[in-house]
Order: sequence, then structure tokens, then C-alpha cells
Amino acid sequence: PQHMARAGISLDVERANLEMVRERLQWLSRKRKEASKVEVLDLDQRLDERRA
Amino acid sequence: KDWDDDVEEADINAIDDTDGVDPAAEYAAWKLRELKRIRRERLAIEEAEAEHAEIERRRNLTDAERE
Amino acid sequence: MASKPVYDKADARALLDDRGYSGALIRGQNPALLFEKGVRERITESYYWKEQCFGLNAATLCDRAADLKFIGGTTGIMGKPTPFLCLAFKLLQLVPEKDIILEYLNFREDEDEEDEDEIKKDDVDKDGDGEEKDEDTEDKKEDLNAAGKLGSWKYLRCLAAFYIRLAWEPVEIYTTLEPLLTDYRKIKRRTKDGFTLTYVDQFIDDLLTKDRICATSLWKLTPRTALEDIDELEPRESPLADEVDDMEEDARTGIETAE
Repeated sequence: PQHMARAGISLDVERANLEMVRERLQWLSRKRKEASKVEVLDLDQRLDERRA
Repeated sequence: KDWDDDVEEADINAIDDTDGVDPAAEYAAWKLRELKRIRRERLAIEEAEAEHAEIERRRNLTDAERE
Repeated sequence: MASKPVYDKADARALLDDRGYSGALIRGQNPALLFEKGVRERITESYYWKEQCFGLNAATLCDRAADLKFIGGTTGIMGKPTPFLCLAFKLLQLVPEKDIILEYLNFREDEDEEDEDEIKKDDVDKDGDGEEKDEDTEDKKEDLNAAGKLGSWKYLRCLAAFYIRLAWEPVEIYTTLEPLLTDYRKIKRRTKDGFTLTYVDQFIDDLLTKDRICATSLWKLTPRTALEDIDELEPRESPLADEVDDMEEDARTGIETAE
């Protein structure tokens, strides 16, 4: 980390509050849902192709 | 992914942590665990009570009886 | 709140500085000391710690926790720490406010529109954003822990529970963790030489009853019965308590009729 400090990279991180944590978790949940939907779509598509 | 390079895919995939595959069986397995916990807690209470009772009994003995 | 620092340290130097540590205390000491020295060293030497934990705050830590695939302590002959253990160490560095830890523990994601009907049926409270509810009203409602609706990120939930057991006070530990004994979702646990299946409720029970877990010695928790004796705690009411009473009653009458 010393070299980072010399390179001007801050060793301090903004402290998160409850609001930030909640937003982060909602965002992650949306991402997870979208990912699982894509998976289902992929599967449907593959099945369709097989039937065709 | 250096941090989990030692995780064997076969090992980690041998365990399935997907929930809701067989809800009835998953609930039944929990019930068994919870019943064991209840039994354990009740046993601990009984033991504590028995210990209290024993202390009381000794306290109530007269010196003569203790001889 | 105003006295709280607005910044956290990106790395662990301040945390590991025995003489100069000036951060928040847990149980009267530097929180890092809740982990054993060897474990601390192996954590801060690990790639995961250096590359994945550097510069996290309580919000960005969720990104890493969302990727957790298992709980565990250390593995292999080298005693390599699991990501779970590294993130727990990060929490000991950050010492997040209680409401943040409770959010990790009880976070409930927004329901999908398609699932709406299902929810209305049970008439669960819609504002259930993870806040603790009155026990008496809770009783008559659906048990959200048993339904797997609280702590949507189950490995984050376990991480928060582990932290609570290490950092909070006995009464808080019991009242916060015991409701999770009905959460029977599956979790993977990494052991010294492989993986095993366990459950959220089992992990919670381990935290409340064992003296060692995930390569960490747990400080001795005041027994529940002792806290009940001094009226700090109400007896725990298991959802199965009635059933057990009935069974015991049956067993007794069974013996009587047999005689």
C-alpha cells in the first residue's frame, strides 16, 4: 500500500451508510434476477431450436 | 482467480445448495434438527433445576444429619 | 453519529498496528484480536484479502458477499483462509453500525410482480424491510425466516450472523440470531478437506452453542438460562414447542395406560 500512497491512490475509503448498503443490495438483487431470466430465455431458445 | 485456485470444481459441485428442490423433505429435515435442539434445551433446564434442588437439600440438612 | 469517521482505511495497517490502533473497540479491545494471530497473518497474506478486500466499505463489501459460494474457516495444510473468513475480518476492521449489520442479516429483496398473488394470500406486511417486528404479532403471521424471505443473500446473512456472535453483547446475540433458527436454507461449508452441506439454522445453532467455528475461538457466551434468571431474556418459544408438548403428553399417557 505504501507504493499506492506514493502514486497518489488514497488509502481512505468513503464510509458507507445504511442507505448506500440498501441500494447496493437492491442493485445486486436486480442483477441476479436479470441473470436468472437470461438463463431461462436461453433454455427456452435452445428448446425451440431443437423442436424446429 | 488466484484466491480460489485450489477449489476443485468436482468437490464444490458435489454439494448442491439449491433451495426448494424438495420443500417437504427440506422442512422435515429442519424439523428433526429443531426437535433435537428443543430436547437439548429442556434437558439443560432439567439439569440446572436438579442442581438447584441438590444445593437446597444440602443447605437444609442439620449439622447432625451431615455427619 | 457526528463523531464517527467519514472514512475507513482501505488496508489493514491501522488495524494490525498493536501500539497505534485508535479505531472502534469491540469488547474493550482491538477487534482484530478476536481472530487468532496465525489466522490474521494468513488472511492479510492471502490473494483474496489483497485483491478483493482492499478498499471495501460496508456497501461495496456486498458485491463480494454476493459472490460467496460457501462458509468456512481455513483449509489445506497451509491453513488458507476462505473468502468468508476474509470478509469477516474486513467487517472487524470496518465495525459497521448496527443497522447496517441488521440489513445484511435481514435484507429482503423487492418481490417480482409475477409473485404478487402469492404474497397477498398470506397477508404479510409489505413494509417488511428487515426491521424487527413485535414478537406477538409476528407469531400469527407467516414466519419470514422459515419462508426464506429474509436475508435474501444467504451467505451474507451467515457472514452477518458470524460477526454478530463475535462483536455484539449476549442479549443482542440471542434476540437477533435465534429467529434465524427457522431458516432452513442450504449452505455449503468448506472443511479442511472438502465441502459439506449444512443449513442456515444449523450454522446459527453452532454459533450459539459451540466454542469454536470457522477457525475462530468464540468467547464464552453467557448461558441463555442465566440471562432468563435475571430477566434479561424471555424463554425462547420454538414454533414446534406445542408439538413437542403434545408428544411428551402422549408419551406420558402411553406409559400410564401400559401400566
